[in-house]
Amino acid sequence: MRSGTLRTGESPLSLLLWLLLAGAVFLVSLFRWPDQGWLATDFQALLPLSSSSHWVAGANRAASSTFDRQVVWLIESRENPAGVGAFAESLRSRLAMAGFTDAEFEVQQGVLWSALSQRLYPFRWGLMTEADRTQLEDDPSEYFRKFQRLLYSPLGAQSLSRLESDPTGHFAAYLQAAALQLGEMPKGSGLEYEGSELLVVTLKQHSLGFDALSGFYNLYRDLQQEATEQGLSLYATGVPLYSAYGVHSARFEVSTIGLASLAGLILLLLRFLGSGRALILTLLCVGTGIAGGCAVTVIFLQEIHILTLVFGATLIGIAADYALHYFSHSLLPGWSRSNARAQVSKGLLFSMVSSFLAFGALLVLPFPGIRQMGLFMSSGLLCSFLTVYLVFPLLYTGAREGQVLPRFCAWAQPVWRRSPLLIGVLLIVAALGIFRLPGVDEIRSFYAAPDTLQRAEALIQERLQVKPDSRYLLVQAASSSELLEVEEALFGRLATLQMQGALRGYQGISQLIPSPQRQEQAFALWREINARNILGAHLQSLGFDEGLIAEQSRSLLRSAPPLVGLNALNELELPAGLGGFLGCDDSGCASWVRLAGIDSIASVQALANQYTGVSLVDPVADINAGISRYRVALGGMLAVAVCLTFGLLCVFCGWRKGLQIIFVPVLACAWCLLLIASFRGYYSIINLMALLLVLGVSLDYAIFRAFTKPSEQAATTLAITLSALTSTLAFGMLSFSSTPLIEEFGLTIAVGLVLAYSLSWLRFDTPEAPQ
Amino acid sequence: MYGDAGNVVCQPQRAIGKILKLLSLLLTLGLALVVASPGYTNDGAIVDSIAQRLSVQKKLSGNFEQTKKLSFLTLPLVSSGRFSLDSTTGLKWVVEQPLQSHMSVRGGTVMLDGESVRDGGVAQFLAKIMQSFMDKDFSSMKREFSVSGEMVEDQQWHLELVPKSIMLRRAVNRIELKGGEFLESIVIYEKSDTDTSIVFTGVKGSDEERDAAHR
Repeated sequence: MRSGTLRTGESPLSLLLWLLLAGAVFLVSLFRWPDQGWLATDFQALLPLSSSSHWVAGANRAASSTFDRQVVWLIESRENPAGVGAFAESLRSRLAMAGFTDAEFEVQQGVLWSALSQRLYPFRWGLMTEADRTQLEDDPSEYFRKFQRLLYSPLGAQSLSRLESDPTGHFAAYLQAAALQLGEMPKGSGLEYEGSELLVVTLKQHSLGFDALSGFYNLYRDLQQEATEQGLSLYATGVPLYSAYGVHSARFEVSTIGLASLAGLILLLLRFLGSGRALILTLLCVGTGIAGGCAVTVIFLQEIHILTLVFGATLIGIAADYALHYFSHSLLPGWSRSNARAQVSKGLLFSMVSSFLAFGALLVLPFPGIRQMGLFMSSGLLCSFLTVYLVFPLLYTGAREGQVLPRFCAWAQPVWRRSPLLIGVLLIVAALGIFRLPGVDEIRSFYAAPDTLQRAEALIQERLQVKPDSRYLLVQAASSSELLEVEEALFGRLATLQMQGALRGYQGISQLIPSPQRQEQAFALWREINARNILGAHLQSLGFDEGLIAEQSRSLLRSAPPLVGLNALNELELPAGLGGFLGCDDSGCASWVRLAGIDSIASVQALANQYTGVSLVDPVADINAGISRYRVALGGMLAVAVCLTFGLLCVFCGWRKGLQIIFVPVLACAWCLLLIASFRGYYSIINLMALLLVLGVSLDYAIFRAFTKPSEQAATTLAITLSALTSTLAFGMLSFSSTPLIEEFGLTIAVGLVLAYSLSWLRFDTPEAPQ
Repeated sequence: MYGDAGNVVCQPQRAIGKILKLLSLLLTLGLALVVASPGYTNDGAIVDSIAQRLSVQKKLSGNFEQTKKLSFLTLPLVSSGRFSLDSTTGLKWVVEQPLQSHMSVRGGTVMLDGESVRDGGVAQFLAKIMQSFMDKDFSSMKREFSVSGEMVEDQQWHLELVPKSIMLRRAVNRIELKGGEFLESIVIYEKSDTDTSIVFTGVKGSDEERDAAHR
């Protein structure tokens, strides 16, 4: 080790100050940390707030919770139809044994149905399906004949078991209709023949975790292989399966790409710095940046989105530059621990202040996600800077004895004459090129699924003749009864659209709790049927005794019908697939209507336009629109950040030096975007997110160059070379990812950093005289 | 699929519960004695013995009488009619008395009087049982039920099925099947203290060998 000298009392005090600051952040975090829910995962939370967005967010959550645990399995075989049932049974038990499904799920659902039935039973005379109402109005005797035909057939077993409490069958039919609105198997579907079985399984909540999902994908592949061996075809689709594939591929990429890039990083640092301690301190620098950024964001905003955390933790890799800049100078002749900080403080300080302001500027934008990112990055970089500035002088003792700067570090920087003119031309060319290329905002293009899953999904949709649709209708009204009336009026028109084939089904809360007006109508209809003794005759023909007949009659003779409201569902857990009521607040009440198999979205949109308070919501389009707004804002903010930094540099260093510094990030970002977008034919928000890192890192390169004495440029060359090599290696490896989002992110950063590193070698002003 | 609305009005009393527990204990003991007695088998062997007495049929047809006893009705609900079962066209079940109806079960589709209906599995279950006896293939039956039974005189047999799945056990206690060359009766003992019996008469089959001879 080099024998660095330490001025007594200076660095220990710095370390003490660092510990005090870290302790203060920790203590404030302890007091301000929310009890729960500090890590947000809802994408809706990243979008700017609008007047109805809380209802939309609630509806989106409800809509996704219905399907995000379901997996649809289809087993088929024309050659071995007898094996289908056995395999389905084996699949069920394998899923249960592996802990993915709850063997008691169906029983639990039965209990929920029973509880719902009990809650609604006292109001049964006001609850009636539309079909039953029409039949009872037209010909009540025929209604009862039809019901009796059902009772005498083998299909009547269920109705007979509850005949005593539901002798007209209308209450059971009502509940059944609420359950079947969307789940009915279409006539003529491919599932009518023997040798085909469809299973819909709901996974347990805890089986959706990172570790469990990977196991689920392995089980799926095992089952598929077993099915093939038995001459069967197994297809599966569902959100958990796609997530499981994502986890499976992410694990593979982390374990291969991640380990390879980490090994490269360690080798490079050990080769050029010859210090294991430097490696550990680099990790400390980046680690404090992530921890500090996360703590400050949660302290101020009370939450951090998982996307902010993931992207922020990646982008804060910029902080490694501070550490590399510090360590490289230890290879210069005459380096000592006492002067180490002074040698790099100017460059480090300017680098930190410019990045702090550039990322801090993101806080003014009205986008929750970008504001979180701005706060995370600026506070994280400040924490990393403080670690280098206050901790390194004490803990870093120097490079290995005999370790010298590599020969290439002594290469002179070529001077670029007429550079302002050239920079201008290059910028105009890049800008013209970028403006001609379209920005694409499609969230589905960020993810990838293997062909087998996509084929299975298409086949199951073809067999079921239904395509899951995330679009729904949002209904808003002043009161809950008005809300139900609007929904009922809407459903009348939706039924017409359904008959015309514009959509396959719809489901809403008014199918479970009708409006008071409709309940009164149903009650009046039953009272009239009772008064005409048609009900009594039906009960007599079935063999009910006089006492039971009188009891049914009495329940219809009361003066005011018992009406059930939406508050009856309070604190009642509804069976899977039911619901729609979002709640009431000062702005009114809201519900959402699920739609299935939309064939003509224009008809549904036209219908929604006819009702005040009804709107068609397309969550995917909303997300894409949000991404588009983010992309435009991010592009603008990159330009603002560059201007802000340039202004700051002009004030403190003069315009020539400012231009010398700023041209590196500007040209690196602009040409990186132009190259990537020209290659792809478009660019997306992912490219711009990656440019945040390119901007930060290339700014560091230029600032370190500009604020380093000519005699010490060799150390800076080593620092930025190491930074460029490690970052390009790590992010360049990501471009081999099978997930488009990760691939795009990695490729943009790798290209941007290569450009930034190349540009950092050029200078167009004359080198400063040694100070 | 949904809860039993009848449970809303029926709350078991504690005293009745104790008596039922005692009866269950006695019943369990009794069943254990029966099962342990010679001639009564509780494994797949009985099914194989029955299979030997049946002949593979391509088609089956006959008459039925269904009787449903409900505690709160003064008289049982009785219906009668005819049925036919075919490997290709499925089960056709025609009720002639007291009200006419026509049910058909083919694959996963159940129709009543021309309309597609959700049957909750009952009709498909009936079709599967009858198909098992027609094809002499009891694999699906053994998968879904614990099967026990005995051979009795005159080539007659008696089977008892207890559902394995929790869902089916919530509705059905056990099922008794009786027959000889063909399935002759089904009695379903339900949880709701009701039992349904279906008796088949005049059953005719057309077996493979006879078809071949005709050709």
